Amino acid sequence: MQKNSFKQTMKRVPPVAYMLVIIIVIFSFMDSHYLSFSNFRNVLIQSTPLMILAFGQTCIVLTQGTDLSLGAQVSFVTVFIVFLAQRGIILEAAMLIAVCCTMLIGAVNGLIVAKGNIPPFIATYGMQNIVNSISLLLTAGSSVYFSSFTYRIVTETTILFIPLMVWVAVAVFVIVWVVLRKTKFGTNIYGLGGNREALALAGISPVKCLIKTYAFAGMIAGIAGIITLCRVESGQPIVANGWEFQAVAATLLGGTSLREGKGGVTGTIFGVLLIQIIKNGLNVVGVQSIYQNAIIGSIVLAAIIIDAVVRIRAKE
Amino acid sequence: MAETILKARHITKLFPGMKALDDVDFDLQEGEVHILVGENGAGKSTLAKVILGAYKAEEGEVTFDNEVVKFNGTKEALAKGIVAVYQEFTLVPHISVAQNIFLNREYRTKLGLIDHKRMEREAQRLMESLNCEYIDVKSHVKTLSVAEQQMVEIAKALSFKPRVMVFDEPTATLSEREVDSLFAQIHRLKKEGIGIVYVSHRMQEFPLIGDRITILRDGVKIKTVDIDACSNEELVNMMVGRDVSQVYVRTQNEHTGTALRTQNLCDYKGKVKNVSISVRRGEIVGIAGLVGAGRTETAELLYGIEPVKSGDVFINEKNVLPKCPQNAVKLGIGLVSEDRKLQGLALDESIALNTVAVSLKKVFPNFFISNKKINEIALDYKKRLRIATTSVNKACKYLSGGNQQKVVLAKWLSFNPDILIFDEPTRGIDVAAKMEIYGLMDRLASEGKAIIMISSELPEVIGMSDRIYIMHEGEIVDEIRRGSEEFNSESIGARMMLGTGGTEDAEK
Amino acid sequence: MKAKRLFGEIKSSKVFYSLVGLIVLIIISAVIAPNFRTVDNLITIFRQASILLVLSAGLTAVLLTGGMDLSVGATAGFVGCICARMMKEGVPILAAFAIGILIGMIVGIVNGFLAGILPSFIATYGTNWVLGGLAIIVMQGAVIYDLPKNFTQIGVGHTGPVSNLIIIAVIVVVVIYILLQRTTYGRQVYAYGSNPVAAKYSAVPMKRIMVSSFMMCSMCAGLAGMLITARLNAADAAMGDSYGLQTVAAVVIGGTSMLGGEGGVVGTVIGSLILTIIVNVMNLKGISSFAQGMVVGIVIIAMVLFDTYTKRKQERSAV
Repeated sequence: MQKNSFKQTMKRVPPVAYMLVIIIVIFSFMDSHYLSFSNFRNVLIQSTPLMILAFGQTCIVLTQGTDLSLGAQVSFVTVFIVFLAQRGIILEAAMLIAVCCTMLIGAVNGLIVAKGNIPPFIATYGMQNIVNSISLLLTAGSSVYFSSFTYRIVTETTILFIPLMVWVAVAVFVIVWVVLRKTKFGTNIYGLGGNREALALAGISPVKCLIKTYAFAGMIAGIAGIITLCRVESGQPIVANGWEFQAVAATLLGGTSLREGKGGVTGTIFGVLLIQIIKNGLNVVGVQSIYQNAIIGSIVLAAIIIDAVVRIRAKE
Repeated sequence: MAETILKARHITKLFPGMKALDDVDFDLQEGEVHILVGENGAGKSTLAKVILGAYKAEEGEVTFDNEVVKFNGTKEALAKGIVAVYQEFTLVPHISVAQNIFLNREYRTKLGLIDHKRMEREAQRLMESLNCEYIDVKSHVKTLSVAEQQMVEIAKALSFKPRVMVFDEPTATLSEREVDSLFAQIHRLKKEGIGIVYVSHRMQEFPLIGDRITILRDGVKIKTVDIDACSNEELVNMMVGRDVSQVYVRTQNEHTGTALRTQNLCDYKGKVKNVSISVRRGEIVGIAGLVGAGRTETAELLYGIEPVKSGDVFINEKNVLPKCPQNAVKLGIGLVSEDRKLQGLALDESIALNTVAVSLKKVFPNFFISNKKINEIALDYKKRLRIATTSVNKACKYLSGGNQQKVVLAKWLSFNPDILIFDEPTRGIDVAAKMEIYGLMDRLASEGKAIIMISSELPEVIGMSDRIYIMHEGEIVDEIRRGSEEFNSESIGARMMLGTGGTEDAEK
Repeated sequence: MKAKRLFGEIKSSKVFYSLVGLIVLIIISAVIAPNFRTVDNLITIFRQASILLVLSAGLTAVLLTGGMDLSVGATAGFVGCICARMMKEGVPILAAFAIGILIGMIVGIVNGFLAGILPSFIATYGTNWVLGGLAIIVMQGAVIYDLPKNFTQIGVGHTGPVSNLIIIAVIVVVVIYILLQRTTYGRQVYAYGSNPVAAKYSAVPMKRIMVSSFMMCSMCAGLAGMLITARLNAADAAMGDSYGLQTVAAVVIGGTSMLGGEGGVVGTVIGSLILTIIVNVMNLKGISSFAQGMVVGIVIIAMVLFDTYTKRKQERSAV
């Protein structure tokens, strides 16, 4: 009996957790300083913006969608806030306006996906390029600067040895978790991915729900953008290129399914940590930067594939 | 005499090109199970949907509690206490049972968050009232069995405090034991004074739960009778509306040599267990059984859709194993699949292209195709099978069900396999087309093809087959030859239900 | 007679809308940009369109099966870089060319297999990332230029009065057109995309069709990568990036459905021309190249929406 339940708990551990352990072990063998508190803290800090973004992506994936414009939204926020601040708007107000903008972008995404009934990835792929293009136009393709003390408050104030920005990620996690588990909206997100007809029969409009979900993810992308701005202290039009894919990868690794409205935001943490630990580890053990993109990409792709294969096997 | 809750008078419902319901009357009393029966397309589900407010009838009126009601959508019917227990499940798989029951009616705490505890308490109470306290209301619906999900559907319906419940083919996906417990629940609901409309075509079930039966045929109400006052034969005659012997044509022809034989065939899912069947050239062999008995799964094993776990397949006494459809086709096996819209046709493509879908490589062995030749072939089959269309370049989605099925047949005839498996070949098509398909099957048999026919409609299996295998929960439980005493719907039906071969069951 | 039938065929398909779009676009362009009307500019357009044509003709096959390949840009970049590197190291042009095509083929096989496990757009987004990274490794973070003259001649030279690029593009388009429209293979691609389940039940070799369509796409991408390199007379790890989006856009604008089974190379040719003209006019009018992404993005979304809209209308009128 005891053994049995142990086996079952082991089965419930997602494959990503094993991968996480294996990777950490490998890196700690390769570099003796790898397993230190300061490095762990580094990983947490580095992963914060992607973590926040991935929480939003998780909500989208739960509806059987993907939002490929999220990365572009993050870049846009960094650029747009600086753009506004340079024109005399208080930085905090600019942040608020930028978040409203990404919510609006999200809502438009949702509207196109729901009303047009088109594959979400193509709608958001189009949007990615539109948003990217706006960022490039605002900056003429280069980085823009606005100096402020606020950045440092976010990145350097620590509570319990952990910087404020990590706490922001924790807060976003709690909010998304509560939304998914404890609100009608969250129930409806699961319904969108699981059985849209059931929603319609219960008198819920799937169109409105989709719009809300994409707007919600947009808002979260906005927050991720603010954190990113505080870290890089400048507006960079392509700073978050490819993050949307890393966020999808983290979500899938975290056990959220693209097909049936299954999963949740907790697993996503592991997915993001896996990706970030790989990135960080490559730096720590001194892999040349030109090799990093290919290595990270391969490992992440391999991880998703192993994960998918394991899941397909488990089903059979 | 119990009170009449619901009355429908002169209901007429039009669909483009057809009258789905024509001047139908129907009434329902408190504490009664009123069965709606008819062949596919007779209009039983349409009538149920009119009662539920999902469809608006063009003519006629519905009275509820002696008051004329006009529903705009199911929500208004729901408010009156008319609820449906749907055939396809309307549950969200990855939220809890309690959340599903109270979808869009969630209890909330003062903070506006979902009050899981209260919802679970209420759900638990509903489950207890259904004697289903073993279902954990906190667990995700996905983890439940089909029968348990059905119970959740009923609990959801009950949470609306219904006066009328409509069950649409509720037993289609249930096993026998699950059917028993469902019926026990229906009896309980009946005692509480709920009026129940029960849509079904499984005659075996009727005496177990029904009080009255209304028979529909081609959108017209034939009769409403008390359950005890009507024999199965009378029922069949009223449903089919004609002497059964005239519909089915079966020429006597020689059966020569075994074309296909299986020995102890098993699949990985446990849906097919030790199936040993054979079919000879010129023979039509029927496989009868309830939905879920493993008939389609057997066909898919033979056609290489699903992998064989163990057992042997012999074609012309040569041991072969169809690993994939391409393989099966090369071995000369064809499958007219169950779901023609999903599996049979590319609905957006033209009739011509669908006609050559399988025979493509046979017709054009040199890689390059000629559209002219494709059209010629399609026109030939259009003529031969009398496919009603202006042009073979029309997309299949614009054809009626019967004509679509003919295109599926054309697809196989143009390939000309030796062994043909028909899985529910007449589902959802009109009588005229049905008869043409029967005629075609007969002709194919006389040409020396070996034919396996899978069907849920007993009269059709009996009418067409030379031999019938009866399948029950994955096993072949009996084999009955034409001409034997037991070659009738009574005894075959009983065996389908019960899975036994003895005659004593048939007498029940 | 034949022309009439051909016209009827064109009119009944979505290609018709794309063609009308192209004509309208040409008229508008001619009005707003006087230098659009010059012969030189028209030749430029065709030359610019030719690389896009090679890419998008290949992608058409993948979309027809209902799949998506978001890795064409990186594949082109990667193959171009490897090819340039090899030639710098002294590998003969022909050998480098053959290896380039072979690499494209391998990428396609990998993509095809991955698409069997994951949704194809996710799998290829992943390979896009990996290939981009590999290109950086190949280039060692630098740029290669000054390639052999015989090689660059492919990109800038002429055969008779016609640019080599255009000739190559026409050959690729014709070959793929014949493959898709006039062979049993092409029919199976359409059958697969139109209804995969029915195709399986009709004994279509599913895996083979899917993998081969990805293979065709990546081989075209590889070829395009080498053409880009030849035209630039240089190679750079990121040179294929901007083509990814444009390729998807060209195919979608050409009326090939995102859901598979509908459309074809003829539409893609028109789509590529439309896209090239838009970019050309934006250049002529001096609009920042940064705005191109926006225009292309809007066009993609608009086209896909238009596609579902007409489909719905069609279905409604059929009932």
